[in-house]
Amino acid sequence: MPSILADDGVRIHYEEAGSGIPIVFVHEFGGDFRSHEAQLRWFSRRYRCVAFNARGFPPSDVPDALDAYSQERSVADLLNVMDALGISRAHLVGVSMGSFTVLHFALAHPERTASMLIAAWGYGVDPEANAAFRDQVVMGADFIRANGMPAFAEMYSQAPTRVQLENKDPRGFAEFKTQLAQRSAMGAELTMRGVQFERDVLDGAFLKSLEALAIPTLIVTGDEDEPSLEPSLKLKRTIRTADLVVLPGTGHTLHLEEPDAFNRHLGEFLHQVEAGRWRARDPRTMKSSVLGVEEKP
Amino acid sequence: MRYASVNGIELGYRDCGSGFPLVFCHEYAGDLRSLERQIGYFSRRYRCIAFNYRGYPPSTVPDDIDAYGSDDLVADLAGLLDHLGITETHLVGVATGGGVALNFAIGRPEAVRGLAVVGPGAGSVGRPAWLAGAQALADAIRRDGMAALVDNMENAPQRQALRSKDPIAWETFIAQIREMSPVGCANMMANALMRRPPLFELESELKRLRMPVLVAVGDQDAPAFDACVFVSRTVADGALAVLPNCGHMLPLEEPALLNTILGEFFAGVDARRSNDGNR
Repeated sequence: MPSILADDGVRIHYEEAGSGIPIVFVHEFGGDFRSHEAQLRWFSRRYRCVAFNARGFPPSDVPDALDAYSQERSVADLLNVMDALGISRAHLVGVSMGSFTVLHFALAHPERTASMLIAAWGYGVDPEANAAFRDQVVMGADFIRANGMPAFAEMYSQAPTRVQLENKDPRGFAEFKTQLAQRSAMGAELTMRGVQFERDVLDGAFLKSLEALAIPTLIVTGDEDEPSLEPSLKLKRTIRTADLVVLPGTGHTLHLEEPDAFNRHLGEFLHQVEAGRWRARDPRTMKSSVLGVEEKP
Repeated sequence: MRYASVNGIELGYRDCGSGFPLVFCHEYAGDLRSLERQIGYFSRRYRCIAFNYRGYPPSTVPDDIDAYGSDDLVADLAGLLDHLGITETHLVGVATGGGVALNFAIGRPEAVRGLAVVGPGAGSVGRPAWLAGAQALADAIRRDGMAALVDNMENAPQRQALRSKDPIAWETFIAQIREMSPVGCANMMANALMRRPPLFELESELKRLRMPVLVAVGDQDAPAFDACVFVSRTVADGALAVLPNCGHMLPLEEPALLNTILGEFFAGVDARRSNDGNR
């Protein structure tokens, strides 16, 4: 597996398949580049597909210092991967933790973001739910330190938004759990403390900056992914160039639960963008009137 | 409906959406309205253009049977594209329109980026019987008007799949046939359809086609099936899609499935072009 060196000396491993316009896949906390196999195997016929493992996710390096992990650092890693591979502009696909990286990357480097798919986004962004989310992150990190990854994988895979995968695809679920159990405990713990714990809530300057985004965006979530559902709707209403897909009967690992639907929506989206026909939401659809009756002045 | 003066006649056409052009050629027993599900879907992404052949109102209906050669239909398509200033397009042809599209691509390959043909080639196999039936149909339309074509459709095996799958679409299809021109339909059948060469005779021309070609056909479309397989294997870059439990009317029978297949095909063609530009 090839690798690049991030600008702070950390080695980042990546996979590449296909040729053409690049798509970069940015994985979630519970998986790694392997959770995007179904995307790499479908889109490599048409695109240059790149997936990489975040720092802390072997075979990428696992730095032992907490300050080597942050949201800013994951954006820099994505930038370093694109620079090293000569990718000036790409479609970016992020799931969960990866979707935060993509979103912050797009804010920092809009000229390098051809489009973005934001999947299973939003854990912890609700200002009222953020404290509870942080508590969960700390408890999870403490659990990993005390008990190791196999025990964590047993618990984490039974989360309310992960069991949908177990119900739909027992083999895929077993694979997910095995891969999670084999991960670096230190990498997982420090990713929780450094990246997830510091997550921005959706208000203030963050919200304002998203309102100014004009990048073609597809937001995808599952109707049973409760911590993502409301934030995804709010994000759709914030980014004027965003469409929202909610997959039925689906939890947090939507790309594993519904690879066909996920790929189909992503493929349609990318083709629409490349045809030059993606558009901002029609302002006429955003009036407060329900029936088109004009409000009194 | 818009109009273009082409080759001494008026062609009615629709032009909706924007971006790279996607041009549609309709089948014999319907006009551009039979492609509404495709035009409506693809206009979000492409500039969709569909026109009525000569003989299909509101396009001009010449009285003279000699005005209905298959070459005339190809020349009308070329004339319409010239009229619109289109030098390169994706092209979709259904049944008779598939033959028009293939012959246009043979004559002007540089103008076709991606070519999808849906169930072309009826009359390429079992030719003597097919010609006899076609002549009888042309004569019956001249004698009895559009009721003769309706009667033919109600008994044609490759038309029954739509009838059983989607009775409302079938009713609409029949109602639209009744609005078509007997002069146009009789002349089309007796000239363009009966005198066009079977697709098997175009082997050397098809072999020279270099653009990606998708052939879609229904698994019950016996009159067209073998010719469709032949086209997909003869062109340099061909692919074949066989749709299950389908007859001759894929755009109406299976609009969602056909649109998905066409959309995937053209996305692949567009991506390949981007690759060529990148590398």
